Amino acid sequence: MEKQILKLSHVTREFELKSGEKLRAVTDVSLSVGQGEFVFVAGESGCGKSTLVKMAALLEPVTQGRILFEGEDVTGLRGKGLRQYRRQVQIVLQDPENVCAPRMKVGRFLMEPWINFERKSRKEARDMALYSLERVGLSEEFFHRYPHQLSGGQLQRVSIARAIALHPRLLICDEATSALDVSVQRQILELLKEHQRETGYGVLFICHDLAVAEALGTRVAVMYLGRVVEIMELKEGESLKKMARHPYTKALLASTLSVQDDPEEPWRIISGEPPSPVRIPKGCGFCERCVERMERCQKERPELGQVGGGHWVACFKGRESAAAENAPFHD
Amino acid sequence: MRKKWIRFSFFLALALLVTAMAFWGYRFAPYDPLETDFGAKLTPPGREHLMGTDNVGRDVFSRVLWGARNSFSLTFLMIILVSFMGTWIGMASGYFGGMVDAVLMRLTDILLAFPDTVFAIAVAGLLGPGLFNTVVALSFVWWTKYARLARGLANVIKTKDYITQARFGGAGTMKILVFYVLPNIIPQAVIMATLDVGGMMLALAGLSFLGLAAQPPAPEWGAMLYEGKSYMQTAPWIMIFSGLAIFITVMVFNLLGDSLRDLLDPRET
Repeated sequence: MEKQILKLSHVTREFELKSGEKLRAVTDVSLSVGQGEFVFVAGESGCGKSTLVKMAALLEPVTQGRILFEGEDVTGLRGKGLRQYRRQVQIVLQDPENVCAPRMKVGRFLMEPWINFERKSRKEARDMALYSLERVGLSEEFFHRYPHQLSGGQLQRVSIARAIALHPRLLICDEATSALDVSVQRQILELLKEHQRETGYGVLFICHDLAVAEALGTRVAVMYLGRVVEIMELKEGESLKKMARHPYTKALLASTLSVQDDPEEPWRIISGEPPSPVRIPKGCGFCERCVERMERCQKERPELGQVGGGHWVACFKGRESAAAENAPFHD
Repeated sequence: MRKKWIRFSFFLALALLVTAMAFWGYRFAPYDPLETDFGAKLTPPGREHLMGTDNVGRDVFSRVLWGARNSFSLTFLMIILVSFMGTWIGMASGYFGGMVDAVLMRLTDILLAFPDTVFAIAVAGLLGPGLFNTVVALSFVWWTKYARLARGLANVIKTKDYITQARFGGAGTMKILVFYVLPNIIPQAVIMATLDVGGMMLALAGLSFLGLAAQPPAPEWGAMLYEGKSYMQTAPWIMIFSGLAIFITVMVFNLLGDSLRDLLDPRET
């Protein structure tokens, strides 16, 4: 395993509601991102993935658990330490329209990290900003433009240009491509991958599109109701469809439409809504909607269990079936 | 963009002209603004008196020119003071939230609960009459609306992605306030300030009328307006000309504010 950059260790985030009830957005999640890795976190909206990355970016406090950055505990970091952390961890957000301050020109936006972190003179910062633009394939003329004069894809490039300017160790992308056209999405992802090859930063990428995760991810974590229900390490040429063990992952995969879909095959769409994070059921969070549920699932919550190399699943059936398949090899 | 610049320049030129009139116009006054002439009282506008005379025979034209100085300098001083103070207090309140916000906003609530002018009168009454005390009294009540505006905007702005981004770009709190939050408040505050020129002039006039600001013989537009009120039917020119002076000034500054807003908002290109 390559060098670990970020490690979330059993993190939990609770919000206290006005009614006094506790809302658990994220429960006991452990996840790590190594150097050169592309870790995807997938799941429906409301599953806690955004809260998870906000905690990783130290934008949101952690109720329980620890966050380690290159081996050091950064949980609850403030002041100078936090500033230093932000020099090494950068974020790319979902909505490109809101990323640049509306009255700040693109050039100035790109100069900021150089002026603030590196104490460069304006002239040096300017040269650096121009170089940043070049790195993401934008011409110099963008330097003097206002953000509203750019398209979503161009803005996301600018955003990435700034994020990678100071060679961060980790890039956190919160649905960085969701607001973009499919063709533009591809370019942006390629860009991230390309710079990753150069500098080796780790990427924590939130995305609900599993097809993207399959194409680029080295690891995919699927979240449901604040918990990670399945983690899969992806090796070249492997498909998620074949690997997935958890019925929720399978259902998510089935609900993404693909060009290669067999029109004869009936669609397996997940019915119902996830339970409220205020009243989390005792058993498996997914069992109400699960097509493979057993009696046991309602009484007891399945823990994450290893079912293969780098593959963990939190499902009784998934673990059983994996054990059954693997059994002959163990004998 | 060019068109906006032309529009802005035009109104700026007009505003400067009005301001210049206010500061040097008195040199062209044909009469002493304080000199009474009972033989010529309530004379209608004519060759002798361009804008007629008032109830004690003072030349209205001279008084309008002299009055501009008082009304103007005071109004501007107040607006600048009040908008600056209000914007910063409101911005800090909205951005930091929590205790700071609670304390500052309760304070504005208290001030807003009183009718502005009445409160200003009370303060001016306590401090005693005089121009300086009027400035203190009015600024004491007037900053609240700028604070409210700035707070509301800062509250929205602080949750925006670009503030998060600014933090990751290494900007400190002061830098975020000055470079990211303030520029998005200023246009609104400027518009409010220009719209306020009229209100402030009238408030000052009100206090002058009550003998708390400009003292009676001293020429002041608002005070003249009030003085002329009783002669509205027999000698309307007293009110018409001082009112017109206020109207033109307010108008020019409103239009200037509008064109400035258009210029400052890069989105509507």
